[in-house]
Amino acid sequence: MTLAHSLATFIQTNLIGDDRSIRIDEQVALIDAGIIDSMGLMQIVTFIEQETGVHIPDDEVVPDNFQTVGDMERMVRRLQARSANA
Amino acid sequence: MPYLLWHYLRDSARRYPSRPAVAWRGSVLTYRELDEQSDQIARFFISKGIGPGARVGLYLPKSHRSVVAMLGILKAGAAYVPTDPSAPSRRVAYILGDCAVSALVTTSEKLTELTASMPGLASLKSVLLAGDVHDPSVQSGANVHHWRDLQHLEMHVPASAEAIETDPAYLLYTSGSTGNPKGVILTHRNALTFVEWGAETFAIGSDDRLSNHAPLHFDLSVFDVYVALRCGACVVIVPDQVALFPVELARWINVERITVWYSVPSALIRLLLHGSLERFEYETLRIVLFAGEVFPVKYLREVMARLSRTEFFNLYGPTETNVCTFYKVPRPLPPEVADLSIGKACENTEVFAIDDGGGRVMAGEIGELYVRGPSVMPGYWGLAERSQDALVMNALQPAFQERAYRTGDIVRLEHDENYSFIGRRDHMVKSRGYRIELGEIEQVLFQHDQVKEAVVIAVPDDEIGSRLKAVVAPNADCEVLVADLQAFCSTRLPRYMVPETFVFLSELPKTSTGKTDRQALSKSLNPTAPEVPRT
Repeated sequence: MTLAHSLATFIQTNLIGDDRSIRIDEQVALIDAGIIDSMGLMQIVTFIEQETGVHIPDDEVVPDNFQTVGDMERMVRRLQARSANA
Repeated sequence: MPYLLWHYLRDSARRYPSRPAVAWRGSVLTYRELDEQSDQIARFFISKGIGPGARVGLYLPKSHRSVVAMLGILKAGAAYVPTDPSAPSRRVAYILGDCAVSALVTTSEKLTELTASMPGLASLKSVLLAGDVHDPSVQSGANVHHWRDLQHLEMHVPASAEAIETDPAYLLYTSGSTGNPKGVILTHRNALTFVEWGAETFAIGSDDRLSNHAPLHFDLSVFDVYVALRCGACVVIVPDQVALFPVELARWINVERITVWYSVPSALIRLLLHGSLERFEYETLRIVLFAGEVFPVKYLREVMARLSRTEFFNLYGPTETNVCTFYKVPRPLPPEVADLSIGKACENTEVFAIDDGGGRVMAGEIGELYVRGPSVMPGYWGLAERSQDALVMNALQPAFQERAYRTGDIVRLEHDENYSFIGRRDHMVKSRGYRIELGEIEQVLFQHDQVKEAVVIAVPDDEIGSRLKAVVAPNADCEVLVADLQAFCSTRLPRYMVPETFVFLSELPKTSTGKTDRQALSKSLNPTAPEVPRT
């Protein structure tokens, strides 16, 4: 399972529950749709860090990196590349 | 003298017609605009037969229009019922049904979510859609109206209806131990008492810019909105998207030139730990107010060091009483201070503590805190018995009948006459400033087919107050998945009440009387937890 997939599952279970019609895919705008609240954001950051072992610095926790599951995956790849080059 | 909340707007609109009243993202409403637009809402509701004695629900993301709607509903003489826009629709449906709203202000998206959970929607007198987008998929029932159509309303309908100061102004629902949220009724007088105190104590003027960080269903926002309106100041609504991201929020406070910030401590702790606060000067920020939970002193010291020119105040008070005590944090904060005081009573309010023997506690003693005065609620909606348990006869006043609110908070009266919060006498806990009755979460877990027993434990946490842990004994031969229970809770409880972790046991420990032994569970799950002294 890709990170985007496991993130989508995590968000579906923890942040949405079972009675909404919305299905999370790579393009759903999670912030604009009000799916992520501050509690949810913290859970997502922790989840990504646990799943990937990548540390997400505070200045990366910005709207551009968390609007969609795809954005989150791209951020992780960028951070991984950065630490590989460091 | 103003005696209804919206009188503040009427008076400020006369004095400061072109000053900003409400700012949200790029939009600014002047006092004149806010007055005129809320008149339109009032005319609309009055024309639909909604007035004194009625309630109108609010179920929409926060924006300047939420404030227009609140004031319009008040002008119509009705009370508003703000609900959590991120709460599951079935919980919102329960709240709207419990207090029997006559109308609802919402968006087309939220209306779609609510339709399945709330069969009574079609019989409401009106559903007002406040969104800009006209969604054609929304069933255009006869009672559905659009915000932008209101300007065509006839002007001959009056824009206000008579109410008196002891009428409900709004209902705020909080967690209830019996499994459903309960509605705290706040009257105009309750709110005015608090607003007058706040405006005077913090010397709010028309140049002030008050942040509104708390959601509108949370009583902190009463201060932001109405103290601003009372003083001709501007309430600047934190956009949801900004509130989410600490580094954005820090920049926003600086750029918006906020002068008075009010939030729960956990929001400030989050800013401190993740907001890179040191990037900005916050030159205009003169006051930081916090309430809703205990502020761990180690973090408060750090926030105060970052905001070295700002005054800090700890405000205390359950939703039922508004803020009833306050404490100005001394600067410098002496190094020996380990717990922050909740201070002394606000003007026009009395607080006292009663010990187990029914006597008033003396300096150095511990007891339960009671509150009396015009800021105290008249009761819970539709819950006569619960209201009587909470609003008890004031034993210190035998000559005539007077009620005082019994907070359930255990406090110590210090020798300097300030009170200190010690703990709760029941199973209510705080997380991120939200009140949570553990029993309400347990009731939801019991509804799950495969759950035999369940207890929810609050594990103390410095950053957010407490984290929730559910201990579940499944029915024999059942395998319950954590994901199932999380999803089950997510559709029935607001996010802040969904347990973060689940622990499974085949049997829950019992006390000698056969009750679930919470203390044993708490101890085994959280061995370092301090014990709350009994009074």
